[in-house]
Amino acid sequence: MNSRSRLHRALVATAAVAAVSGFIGAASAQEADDDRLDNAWADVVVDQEPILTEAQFAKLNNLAFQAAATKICDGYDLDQNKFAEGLSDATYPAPDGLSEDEMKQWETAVYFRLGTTYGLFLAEGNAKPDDFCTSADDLKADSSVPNVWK
Amino acid sequence: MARAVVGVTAIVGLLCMALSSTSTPAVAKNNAGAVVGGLLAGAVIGAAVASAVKHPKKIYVKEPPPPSKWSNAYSPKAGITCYPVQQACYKANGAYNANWTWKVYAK
Repeated sequence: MNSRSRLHRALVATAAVAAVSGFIGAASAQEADDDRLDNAWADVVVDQEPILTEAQFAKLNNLAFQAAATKICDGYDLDQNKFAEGLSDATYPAPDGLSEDEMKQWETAVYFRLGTTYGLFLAEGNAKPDDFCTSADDLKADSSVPNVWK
Repeated sequence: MARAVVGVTAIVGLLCMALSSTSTPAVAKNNAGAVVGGLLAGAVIGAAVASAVKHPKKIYVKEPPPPSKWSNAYSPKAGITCYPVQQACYKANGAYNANWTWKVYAK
């Protein structure tokens, strides 16, 4: 198996596991008046290793949200070039001084976090699609915030 | 360092395929590489998941409630709550708000 197919399969598997985990955790995690999966997010982020800066994590959150919106909301498609630039921006700069193996581990950790975040947004969005897609509309309407949709 | 460390076009293409659905995994050719790659990925994923394992512990006295994971959440604007631990902002109804996430954390 080449590295492309390995990465592809790993990401798909990660996203699937995260999505399923998000749905399973939804009932117990969700506040009664809140779409946000508080406890599921806490399990992901509270002891997250600092593989990215605060700004990089935020950019990765927005990429995952937009990817999830393409699945849940009508009229949204990812623009591959914009997504490429967005992911590049979200992960730059990479940590300095890593060996080749350490760099692979870092990349894997970044993809794992992206896939997990994507899965949690899928869970939140599918639980309350109207609210979720209104947020997507808000992003698309705000020219001061970049998006990666067509 | 080149800007596109992770966001190289080939990888992004795969990500887009994964996030947009339909594609078929390639046929395996180099199993040794797969094993090494699998070990690396497995180590990372295992480490990420292991911290979530909850071990039973003996309780001698009633413990105080743990501090809230979101105690440092704050509101930059009425109806918006931002969670520094998550680097994310949400609306009052709990829907993710990408606009404020960008303005507060990514700008």
